[in-house]
Amino acid sequence: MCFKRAPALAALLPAAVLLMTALPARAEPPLATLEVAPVQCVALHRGQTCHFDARLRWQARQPARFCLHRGGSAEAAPLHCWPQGSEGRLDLPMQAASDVLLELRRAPDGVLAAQAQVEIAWVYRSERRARASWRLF
Amino acid sequence: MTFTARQRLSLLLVATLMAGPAAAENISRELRRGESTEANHLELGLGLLATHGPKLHGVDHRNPRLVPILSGRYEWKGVFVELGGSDRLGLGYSLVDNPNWSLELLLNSNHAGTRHEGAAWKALDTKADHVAGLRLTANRGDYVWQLHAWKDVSGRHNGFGGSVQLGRAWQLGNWNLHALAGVGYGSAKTMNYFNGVTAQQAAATGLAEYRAGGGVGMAAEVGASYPLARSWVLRSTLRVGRIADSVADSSRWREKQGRASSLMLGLSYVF
Repeated sequence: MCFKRAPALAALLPAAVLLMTALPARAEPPLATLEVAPVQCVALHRGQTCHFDARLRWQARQPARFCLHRGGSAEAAPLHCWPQGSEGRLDLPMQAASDVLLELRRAPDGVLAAQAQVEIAWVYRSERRARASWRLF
Repeated sequence: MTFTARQRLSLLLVATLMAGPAAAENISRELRRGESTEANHLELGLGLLATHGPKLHGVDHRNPRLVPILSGRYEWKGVFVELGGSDRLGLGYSLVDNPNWSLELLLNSNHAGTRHEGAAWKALDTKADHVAGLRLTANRGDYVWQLHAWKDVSGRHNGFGGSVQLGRAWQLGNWNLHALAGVGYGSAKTMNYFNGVTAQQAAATGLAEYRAGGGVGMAAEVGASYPLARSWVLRSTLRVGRIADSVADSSRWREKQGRASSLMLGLSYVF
């Protein structure tokens, strides 16, 4: 009976090893934390560009050079880079018509350290003023 | 065959509602359906209104005063209900609706009634009318043209009229600005119902008889709206107008002035 089970166990063994290596005992803490305010910008009509002043604050576990990128594109020019350090702040005027993803990446290797998002919302689902509001008489 | 005002109103309402199924196969309706959902909204708020202009006998022109802000639109398969300004309810049907222009059959109240205080002045009371008409709206970029032609179906005055206005909207940061200017015409019957003084009214009030003719009024408006939060809007509107010459000398006025202006600051919640 034991001999009959042996091939099946042998087949499962590599899968088990793979699973153990893929799932570390503890998740790696992020390289840094990034906080942004406001977390939401509200425009009047859907599709409009929303203007806001993003206040950013980050803290890293270890000092390094960090750069701020927008929209998940590490290749694009960074919005701002800090000199070697473990924390930083920035006030950044921004505008967007859809949600903004901000990423803090370590320089020069571009490793993602932390990210934060600003949601773009609106009051009216229509893209323009209501017809009844264009009325004088 | 003649109809009473109430029967005419009912017939128009039925005709408006029956027009829906007839246009069921129209492809444009599918487009309209998508857009209409986006336009559906209801807005309730409170505003502080300050006015300057002619004043009527027997009417308390408290200044400034709080006014309700009721605005909204609900459209389903081309049939819509809309609230405009503070007290104007409209029912209509979209005959054509595309991003550049729309043509709507509209049944609404075009003139608010006036309630006078004091037994003597009560004789001057007027009731809101109900008019049926067509409203054409054209969008060109940030500009909006609107034409509205109407005829009274309430039997209050049996008059007719129309208006044409041009508007423009801007975005400045998160502020939304608009400017609007236009002219409106009211026929003699309409103007006389709301501004004239009949022999009976003259006898009851001691005012001189006055017969108003048809006339043209002009108005312009600039406004600003700011989204405070996802459902809260701050808005301000400055409006100036020139009263039609044909009613400027009406004896209903306690203080005659050819021009009127108003400033409104309001806060509203958008559902």
